[in-house]
Amino acid sequence: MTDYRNRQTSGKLLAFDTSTAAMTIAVMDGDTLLGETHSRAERNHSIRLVPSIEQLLRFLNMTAADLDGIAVGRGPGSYTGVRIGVTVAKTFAWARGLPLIGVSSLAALAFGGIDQGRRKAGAVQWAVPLMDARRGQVYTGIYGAGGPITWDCIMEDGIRLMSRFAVQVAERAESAQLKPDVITFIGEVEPFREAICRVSDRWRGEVAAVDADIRACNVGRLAWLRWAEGEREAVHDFVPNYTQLAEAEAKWLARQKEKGEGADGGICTV
Amino acid sequence: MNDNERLRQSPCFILAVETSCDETSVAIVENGTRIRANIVSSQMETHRRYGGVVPEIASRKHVENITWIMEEALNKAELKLGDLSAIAVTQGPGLVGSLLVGMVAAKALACAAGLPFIGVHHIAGHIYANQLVHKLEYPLMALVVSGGHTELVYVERAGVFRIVGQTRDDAAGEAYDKVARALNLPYPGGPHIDRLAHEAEAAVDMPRAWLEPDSYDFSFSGLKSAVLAALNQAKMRGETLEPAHVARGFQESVIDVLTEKSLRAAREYGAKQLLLAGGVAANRGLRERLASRCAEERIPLLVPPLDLCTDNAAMIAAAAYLKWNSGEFSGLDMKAEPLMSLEAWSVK
Ligand SMILES: [Zn+2]
Repeated sequence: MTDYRNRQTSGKLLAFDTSTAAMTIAVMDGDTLLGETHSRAERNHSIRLVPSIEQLLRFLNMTAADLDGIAVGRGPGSYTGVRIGVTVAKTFAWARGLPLIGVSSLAALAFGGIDQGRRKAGAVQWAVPLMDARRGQVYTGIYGAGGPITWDCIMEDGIRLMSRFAVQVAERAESAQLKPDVITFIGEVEPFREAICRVSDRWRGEVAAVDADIRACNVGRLAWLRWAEGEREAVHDFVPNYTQLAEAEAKWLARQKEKGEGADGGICTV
Repeated sequence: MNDNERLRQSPCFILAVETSCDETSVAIVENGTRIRANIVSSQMETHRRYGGVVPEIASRKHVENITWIMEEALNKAELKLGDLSAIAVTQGPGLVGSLLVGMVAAKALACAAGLPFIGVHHIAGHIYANQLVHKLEYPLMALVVSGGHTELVYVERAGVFRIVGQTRDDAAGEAYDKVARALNLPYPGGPHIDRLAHEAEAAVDMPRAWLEPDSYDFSFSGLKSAVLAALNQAKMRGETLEPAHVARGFQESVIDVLTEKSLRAAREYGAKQLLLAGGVAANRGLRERLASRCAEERIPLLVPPLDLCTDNAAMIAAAAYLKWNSGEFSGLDMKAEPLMSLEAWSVK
């Protein structure tokens, strides 16, 4: 958990995320948003990302040399999308010798679902980010804020079956020591209206659904929380969080298992 | 001395990135000819267990490798980012997921370092690998043979490409892989067939696809089917064909067609040199036959060393130098092109 008092409060940070159909780029100075651009075009991230970064910097009368750090959403999300964001971030950070901070794209999405007014009033809020992962599945997790918690991950990011996950959310809320006053589902909520309603059926608290994209300013804000703690990524080794093995690898491992445990000695399965 | 003259006098260092398939490579080449660094990280071991390149895994590996390889290239060349003149990258053709990693890494580098950016055609790279070791004389004819390509390319002057013949079905390298699989040879099969063919003292006779008399096109799917049929017929008779004999029969057919069509094209177009390019250029049988036939026909044959035949970024930097000289730079909004025309990439 982060204590705000020790936070470094200035330094210019370039933050972006391309893990979904949205491309979002922001430049922050500490917690202050200096400028942000946002567009939707999944197949265009590899074309638009770098020129849009240049454009935003130019608009702010800045150059790459004015930046003090890079923050990026490392997924989960579209495999190609997160690769584009992560590769641009690590290459940029390496080339300019800048610190790099990776944040969960789901956390950044969830952060947008926290009502700052209610938070100040002491309400405990849970935000559940949703990214459609096809076949009834979602990339999701549970994040919380409010009461004594400034910002916390309650259930880690993963790919889950939405119908089953909705039940889990209700159960978690019911059994939580610090019960949420509100649970906000945020992101691609439309395909999952039915499952979200099932949460309301099983749990008495307030449930909200917000259709929203990830915003780079939230990638930046979450990055600042870790930046303040002195955390940095090892730039060369920085990779996306895919949450899953590549399909061919998963199948291969399953086949090895069928052939009998231990038959695959020497093969790393991590 | 004006700016242009000064530009020409100082050395041009192009850093190139190549990730079109399963090699992550970064190179720095001086003036399009002198290799200062050419780092290649092969993923062959990773893909071996799958019997071929898995695109998603290749893309993931590129992300893991890319900045390591960039740094290694700068260290090897004993240069700093500030010494570089331009950043180049393979624009296509290739696996889209793989291309994208190199593409956005190169863009980020060009943006971060404030350098001009050049997109390069992969096959132009294979052809210009020769420029790293030989002096090119135009017009020339290039035979490009790899896992994905079999093409005869006429290069009238520096950087101007015309495809005079190409495969109508499988690439030569693809045919090698399929035949190797039928013979139960380990992946990648090409080198094994080459070795077996060399050791064999007899060959199973195989057909040659010459196509129309005036055509420079190729076709290898019929040959592949003939190999499979021969193996099957032998099996039905309760016999097994000696794999080495099959390998030799297959390889001789491929080499005959490649060599004779290349020589005919070189003659007809008045080429001063015949260039061999692409991964299959590592094939010993093909190199030897081309060498002896070119000697007979008195056409100089240029072949790059083995490490410049397979995918590498030095060849991309060498080809990028063509565009540096013509002052044709790419925008950072360039698109990766999994299917890309070589002719359209020609210098203006
Ligand atoms: Zn190649």
